[in-house]
Amino acid sequence: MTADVGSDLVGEDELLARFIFWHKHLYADGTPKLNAFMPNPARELSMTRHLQLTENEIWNVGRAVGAVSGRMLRARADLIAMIFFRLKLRVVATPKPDNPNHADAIDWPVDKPTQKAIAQEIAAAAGPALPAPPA
Amino acid sequence: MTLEPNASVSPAGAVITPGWSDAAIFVAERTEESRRQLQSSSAVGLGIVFNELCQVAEECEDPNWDGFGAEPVSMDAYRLAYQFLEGLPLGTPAPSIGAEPDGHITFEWHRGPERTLSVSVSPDAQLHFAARIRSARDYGTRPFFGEIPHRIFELIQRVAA
Repeated sequence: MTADVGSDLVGEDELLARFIFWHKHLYADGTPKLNAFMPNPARELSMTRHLQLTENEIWNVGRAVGAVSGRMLRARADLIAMIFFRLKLRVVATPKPDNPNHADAIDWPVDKPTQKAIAQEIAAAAGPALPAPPA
Repeated sequence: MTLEPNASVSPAGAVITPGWSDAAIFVAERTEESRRQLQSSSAVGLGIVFNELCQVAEECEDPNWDGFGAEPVSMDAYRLAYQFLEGLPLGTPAPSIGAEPDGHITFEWHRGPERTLSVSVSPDAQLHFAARIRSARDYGTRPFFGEIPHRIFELIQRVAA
């Protein structure tokens, strides 16, 4: 994807949350699997910018995202945007009516094994996911 | 030893050299049947993993199973993933099973972020893999004809070693 999104680029030092809804996206020790960072069929990885949100507000965004599809929020992985840029992806702001802090990692290669290799690097950089607190 | 690009590995870990006589085919069929029975048993093989595969296929049979618009896991992907499991040599460490947003089923051998291998089985019989073993990175695609490609088996062994 090579859309002109220059002004919508997220800052390299911004924190991003990737919400995890499926139990099999986590290892038993709570670290996220690479599958949790694979792009969707449109080759975008959906995330939420922390910006000025409080911890509680971030979790509430995740719960709201899950509620749309009836999924329980399990955890979230926090990542600094720089990780994506180093992997030759871009992170762009893509606000949505129900999530003005929404962002996507874009520019994923079409090639599936390269996508997996990139997701593997992201997972390694993510460290343990934060388990969702009780609502 | 030099291997053909699509070389595969027998359950004993040897390079396969098939015979073509009636007797050779009979022996090969019976051997394969016995091996499959052993592989699907919980005591010797990967019986529990077969159950996990079934569970993943059920949990991912509807669109958007991940909450981010994932495609469903198809019956073809499930069937091929089952064959992939059957094709693993006896004694292979159990992988963990998952799925990806394009509906591929994944097998992971993971001993930490520096020793990890993920193999995706696509509905069109392709095996996409990515490995991270210390400072080395290896990724690519191999066609799946029912037997484990040598390169992937080698990576499983390296991660599990």
